[in-house]
Amino acid sequence: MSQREITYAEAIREAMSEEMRRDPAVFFMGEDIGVYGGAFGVSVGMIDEFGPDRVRDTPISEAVIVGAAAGAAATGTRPIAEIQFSDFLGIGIDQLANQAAKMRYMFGGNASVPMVIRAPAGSGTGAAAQHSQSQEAWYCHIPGIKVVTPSTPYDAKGLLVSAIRDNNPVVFLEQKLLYRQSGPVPEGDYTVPLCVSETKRPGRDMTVITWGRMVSMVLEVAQKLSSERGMEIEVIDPRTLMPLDAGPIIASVKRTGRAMIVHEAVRTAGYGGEIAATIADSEAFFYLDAPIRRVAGLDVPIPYNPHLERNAVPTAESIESNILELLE
Amino acid sequence: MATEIIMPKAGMAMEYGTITQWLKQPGDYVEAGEPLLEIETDKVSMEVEAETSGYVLGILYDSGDEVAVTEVIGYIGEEGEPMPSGEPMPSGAPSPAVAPSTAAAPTTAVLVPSDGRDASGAGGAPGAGGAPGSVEPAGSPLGVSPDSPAGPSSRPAGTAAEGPRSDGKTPATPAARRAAAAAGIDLPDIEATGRWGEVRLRDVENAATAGAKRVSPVARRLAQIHDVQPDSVVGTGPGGRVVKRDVLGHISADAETAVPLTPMRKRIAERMSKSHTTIPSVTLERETDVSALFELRAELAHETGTSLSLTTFFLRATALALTGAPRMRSRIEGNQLIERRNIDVGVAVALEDGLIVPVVRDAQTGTMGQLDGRLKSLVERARAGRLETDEVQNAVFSITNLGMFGITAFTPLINPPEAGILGITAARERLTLDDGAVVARRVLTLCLTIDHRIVDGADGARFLSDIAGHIERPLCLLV
Repeated sequence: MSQREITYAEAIREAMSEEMRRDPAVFFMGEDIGVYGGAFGVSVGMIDEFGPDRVRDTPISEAVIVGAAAGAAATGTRPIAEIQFSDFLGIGIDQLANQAAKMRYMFGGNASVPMVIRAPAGSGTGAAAQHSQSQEAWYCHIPGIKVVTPSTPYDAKGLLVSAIRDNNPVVFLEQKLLYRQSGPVPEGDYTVPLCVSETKRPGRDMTVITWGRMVSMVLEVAQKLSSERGMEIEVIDPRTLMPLDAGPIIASVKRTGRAMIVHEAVRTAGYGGEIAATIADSEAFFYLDAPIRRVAGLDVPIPYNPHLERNAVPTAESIESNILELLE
Repeated sequence: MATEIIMPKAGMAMEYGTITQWLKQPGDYVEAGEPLLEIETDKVSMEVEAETSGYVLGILYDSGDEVAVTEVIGYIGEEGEPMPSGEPMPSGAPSPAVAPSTAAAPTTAVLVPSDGRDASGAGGAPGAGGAPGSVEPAGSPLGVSPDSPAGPSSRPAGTAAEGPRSDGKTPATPAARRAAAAAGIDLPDIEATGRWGEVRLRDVENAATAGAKRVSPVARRLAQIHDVQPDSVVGTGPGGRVVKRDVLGHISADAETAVPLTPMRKRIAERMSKSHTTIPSVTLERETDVSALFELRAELAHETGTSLSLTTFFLRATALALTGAPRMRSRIEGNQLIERRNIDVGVAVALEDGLIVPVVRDAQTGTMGQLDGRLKSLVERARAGRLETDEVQNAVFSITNLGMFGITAFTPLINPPEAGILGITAARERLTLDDGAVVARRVLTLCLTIDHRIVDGADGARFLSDIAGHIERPLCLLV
């Protein structure tokens, strides 16, 4: 397998296309995903290869998209449903939470719902309060679905392939700001397993748990602190938030004695609190040498003003100052 | 409002003082003017009095510690008041009210600065920095503070400033607690360096390395110098603190003993080195007949019932000789000879470890009885370590007596910047011919060391003869 660089969006398109080629049961639906190629151009050209039956434009109704996907999945296909902005998934939550997430359980294991909902999340595009949210915690609160937040093109492709092949509903939260970022992605078939955390950077002084767009930001800060101050920050990306692969996180905090969670979503009732509690509730507690710190979005709607928007979520500066404070 | 106790500057030359003993302990009440502690300088020991009434809030240096003058060594204040430096109140001392709620609510009991060292730092409390960055929208669109309701602002106000640890719960990270328990160290004994005053793992590790004991700075330094593990030393200071004497005692258990110089020994070493290396000295010896002196002294004792010290006679004889020998009262300063008019004579007094030279002012004045009284008082106080600073300064000449040890001759070293020093030796009986008849006489050798830069040999010899003349015709000493 040779390595090459492709974008996060291309990696997602490759994952979908390759799975649709491999498995005729996989199909794709969403708003303007056909000729238009999707709001972010992720599915450009797919309709030419797979035709309108497998790349289906839908009405502007997220309830329909999610409900149809759940029904199709329960009856033998493997749908991929795109929600234009993850903010709109709220309209489909009843279908997701009360149908897709419950069927396997309520039918005594006789039904499976192999569906993937792809939805771009996050701020930073000047799209204001209704198009910029990070709502991963909403879905983590629904037993029966998996929540995936890829942070690199490699992970995006490998995790999406795994999500499509998984027999349960997966909410696959993509990052708008990452779509155009490139990274190494091997040619050919590979997967990244769901529910497996990855240590993106080893370190001895502190464990930072982060996902999505924040991963590259934290890695940059970690690199800076390493070269400027000799501090070695360990960065762990859970990649799948639900269910959480907490083992490596706990093991890491036991080693470093310090834990910080960085996420773009608002802090209050954010998933960082869940991770902090998981750490505090584990044997890692006895190794903590500083409070567990959450660096997260302010409890505000994402502002339209670009300066305010930038500072409503963690920045490299705020991440750095928080790390330094805990390491003081 | 706490008042500082400082290391006093008891003389112009005093730079450091060593605390020999605290007479009051933390928690004790002291009246203004009451002795608070004893200190020792290179010259004297003295008591330091409390300048204000109040309770001793805490002590920053233990006995044995050497401290620079004017440095704060403790605090006096109101009962229960915390020390301004944020040191914890010593156990047993009354503490301010406990705020049990701070420990009760799990969401708020994170890490409360224990000691008020930075009450204004509450903004930097855990969680406050959790909001991203320093930029917080001045007015958020929903009017919701970014930190409310679950943010650090829900911490009970004022917990940061409540002063000394009072609830028996030392703030510490879980890692520090675990390590301290494993090492068998009590958390309150560990110096906390955490950002919020909490004990961190590194503090436990430091404490474990240092022996888990409180060790005074001097003891720690000594232990380091002598490669002694402080935890192998039994502490005898307050609360089992390892202090200087403990480390010294520990070291002396070995074959070779290293003892740091006392301030006095340091001073003696400096002055004697200076004397020996910078003064071209000559010692003149002269045998002196003291038969008449001994008879007179015995007669005086018999008649008056008081026994004058032999040294007093030599002191007076020297003083009288000094009045006629301005050179012996001079010192060199640059290109000048400075002649002093006061006949202030130092008398060396041997101490248990060291010696001190109290000065008898105008030793040519007063009756012999008065002179003897002044000398004895100085000697007594010298041995008790209770001389005032000005009683050991500015002699023009000194005398030293080794007679009681049977010494028959020696070469005393000049105490700079004086011009000379007279050594007195043991009297002995000798048969001599007196007008053809063999008679027994008492003699002793006077040893005069002179600074040859100031005094020539002949001048020194004349001065010595003068003294000998007074000794051999002692009646003139009485007038």
